[in-house]
Amino acid sequence: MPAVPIPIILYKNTKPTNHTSRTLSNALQISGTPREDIDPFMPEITVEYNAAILTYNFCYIAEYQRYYYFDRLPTVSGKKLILHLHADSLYNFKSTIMRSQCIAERSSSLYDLMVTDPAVIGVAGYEYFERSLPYQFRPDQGIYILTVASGGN
Amino acid sequence: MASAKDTLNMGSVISFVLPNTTQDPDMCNNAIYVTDTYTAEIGKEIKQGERLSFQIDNIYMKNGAITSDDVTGTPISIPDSDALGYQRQYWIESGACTANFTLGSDFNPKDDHKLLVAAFCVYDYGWQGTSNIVNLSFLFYDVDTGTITGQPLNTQSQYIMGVEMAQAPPLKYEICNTGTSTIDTNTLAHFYGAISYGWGTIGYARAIKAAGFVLATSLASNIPIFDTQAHAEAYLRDNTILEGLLNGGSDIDPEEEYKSQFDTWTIISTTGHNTRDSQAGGLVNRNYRFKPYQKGISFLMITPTADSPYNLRLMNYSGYDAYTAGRGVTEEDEFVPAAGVAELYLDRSLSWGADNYYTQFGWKSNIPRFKTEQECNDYFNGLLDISAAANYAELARQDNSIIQSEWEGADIDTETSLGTNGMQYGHGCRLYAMSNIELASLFTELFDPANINDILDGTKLFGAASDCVAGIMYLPITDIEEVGNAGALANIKIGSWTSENAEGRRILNNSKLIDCGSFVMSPSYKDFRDYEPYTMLFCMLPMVGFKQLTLSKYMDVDNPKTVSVKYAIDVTTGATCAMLFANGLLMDVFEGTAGASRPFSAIDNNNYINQVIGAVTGASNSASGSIAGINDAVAGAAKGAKIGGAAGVAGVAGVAAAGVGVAASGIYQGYQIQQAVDNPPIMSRGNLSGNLSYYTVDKITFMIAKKRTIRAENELEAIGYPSGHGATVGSFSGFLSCSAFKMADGFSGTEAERNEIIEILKGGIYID
Repeated sequence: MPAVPIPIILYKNTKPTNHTSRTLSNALQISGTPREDIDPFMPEITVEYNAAILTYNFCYIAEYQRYYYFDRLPTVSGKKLILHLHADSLYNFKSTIMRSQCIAERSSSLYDLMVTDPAVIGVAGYEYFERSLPYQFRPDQGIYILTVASGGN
Repeated sequence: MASAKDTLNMGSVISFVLPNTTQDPDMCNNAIYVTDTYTAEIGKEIKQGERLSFQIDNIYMKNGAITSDDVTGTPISIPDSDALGYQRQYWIESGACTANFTLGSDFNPKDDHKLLVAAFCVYDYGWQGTSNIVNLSFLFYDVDTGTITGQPLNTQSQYIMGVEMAQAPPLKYEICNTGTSTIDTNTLAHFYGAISYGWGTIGYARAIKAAGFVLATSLASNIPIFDTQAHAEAYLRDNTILEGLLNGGSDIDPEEEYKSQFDTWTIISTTGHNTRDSQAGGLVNRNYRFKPYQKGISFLMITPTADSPYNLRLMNYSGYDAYTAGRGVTEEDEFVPAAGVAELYLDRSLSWGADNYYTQFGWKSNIPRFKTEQECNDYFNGLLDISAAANYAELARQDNSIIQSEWEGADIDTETSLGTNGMQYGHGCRLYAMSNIELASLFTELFDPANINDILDGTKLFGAASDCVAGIMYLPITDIEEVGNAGALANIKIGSWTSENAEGRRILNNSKLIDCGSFVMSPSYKDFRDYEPYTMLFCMLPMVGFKQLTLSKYMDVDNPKTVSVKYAIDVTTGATCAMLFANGLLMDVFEGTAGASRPFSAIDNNNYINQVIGAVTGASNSASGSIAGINDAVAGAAKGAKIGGAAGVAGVAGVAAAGVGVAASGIYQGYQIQQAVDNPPIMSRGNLSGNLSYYTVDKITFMIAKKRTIRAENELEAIGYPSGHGATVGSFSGFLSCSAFKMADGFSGTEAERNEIIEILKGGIYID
């Protein structure tokens, strides 16, 4: 059964995909036909050519109930554009991810300064600092201890 | 205003949950709601200062919108209007009833990850006048952004406080009527109540018209509770301003050691602002803004009991000093309803309306929880071990748990006990402390021909006068009193011969230590670089030598230690030991020789040379060795002592770089290589002994060798710092890379998506 067109809402997203939030604007609803036998995780959607689409980088497909980012620029095929999409797993499941347990390797908020940080670069050499305690022995003004055998107290 | 101080009883701390727009049974959609049910005399006017108490029997949470049909009980009659012209006014008609409110369409949490914070304000309202109404203002704390947004409920909204009616009254709220009982004529819905979330904020009900009543709740907390927002804000700006304080605050004086044990957060309002609700035409709504405080705070809780299953108290360790942002306290243990009390809570599986579920009242906390107040106090006072906590098993499993090890607590030493030398010098053996001049005077007398016969006579028991002199030793101190007690100048007695002119101070004992002083070992970086191998500690000890010290014995980044040194010198042998202390605890002992023998005879000289060589090289020459051989041995020993060394600094275990924002692994490897070729600071072999040591240091000198490092100023923002903390992803902010990740229940994605999420988290994300 041939694929049927599905609605797609295009967005312009300015947030990097490794951020948990998205800044979406310029919503544009279009219709596209997914290529058959393509995993909806990374679908390829064929749409009518529209130069404006080339300025978009993000979309929502209600059919799959997922947001997608453009994996690469759309390719032109005749009078069509092929959108190469990649499911935005981080954004799609953000709420579940946020309440999931993790052990942080590195963090900007919860960290331990006493853990060795390999990102700290060592520079050649050492700096030396000395500090003396106040008491001074006086080998120049010492005393003699005479130990003798002696009767009586 | 009548003081509410006397009426605030020990009440409950209610947890809250994350609201979620999805029908996720794991997450309650809304806050905990408390309904009130009570009987009040119809028509009873609540005067200023009066209060009504009522019992709240249960607490439950509702997932999804709550409607007035959801809670059983006699609904309050809602007339269209009354004689006063109020279009919607709730009052008790007769008997027990439930005030039902439904969250309307304006209850609209915007994001998934918000905490519902409800508070309401105290206002001075004019009855039938133009004053303002108390509203339940639902506020949301966004754990991702750390901001609070207000969602004041307008008069079109209905709110439900869900409490299942039951027999036992575990909760009791009471709020003082703090002002005149007035109602804004424009108000359509009047509801007064207080919901405390343990954040130190509480609102006060306002009395309404004679047919109305004060919704009274009581709350006990040693978190300061103020009568007005202004007073709360004033206190938050200056902790000495306690005007308007209602509950007296903390009555617990915690031990200092407990203050930083727990990592809980509590939100306290810092500023608030009033906004005008134009729809209400002059209605003033106050939006509380909450700000998390960074300073740590400690809490204990009293666990629910069968008699009062919700009678919990959050006890504040640190009084007014600091409050940190909190997300409430949740416990996930099963809660057993008290006997005879039907359905104190409702199991999750029970449906409450279509697609709505009750969520179990859960607790999970790393706060120790005890069954009684007495147990809490005993724990505070060190009379009860933390293992008696009801949730100790859970605490023990947690990372960075607060389990008190056997090396902590009151039994550990705070100071090392040192012995005292009780040896006395007297019968048969005398020690004299003499100056060079005094010694010269003695030998002048000894070798005076006029005295020879007397000397021989007095020393014949020992065979020769020289045999009576056990030794003459030079010590690098100016006063014998530094190491022992001595008498006044007296003639020298050798054998039974007593000098006529020569004098010396008779040494009585050798009981003193030389206190060489102290200093505070302060960190430079306050991070891992303050310890080996980035920082190394050496000590140059007079008469002992150069010693490398284990830095962590003397360094505490958070609590700088006082490092001190004491010397003991044996006046009979010249042996010495240097004792190094950190905060009064003995950490290291090094031995050496302080005394330099002044040879008195050939045998004595040979013995002395052996002593020196042995100390320096560990070798010795025979009593008949040639002078040349002795000199060669000494020279060889000098050559053998090396300055510098080739021992490399242990490389730092690198973390495999991966993903976004993490430095390339080549940098890590380069650092390790660099460390391997760097020479460590000074090393020396052997000990400095006797006369030889007098040419080196005469003061205890500590040397710190610090590795120069570069830490990018934007490292925290870009790639964070090493962590190891375990929590929900949402607990973090900024950059986060995970070494382990456990997907929560309810994930509806594919396996490929799950795997990708794991990889993304390992590489690092920015939570914003």
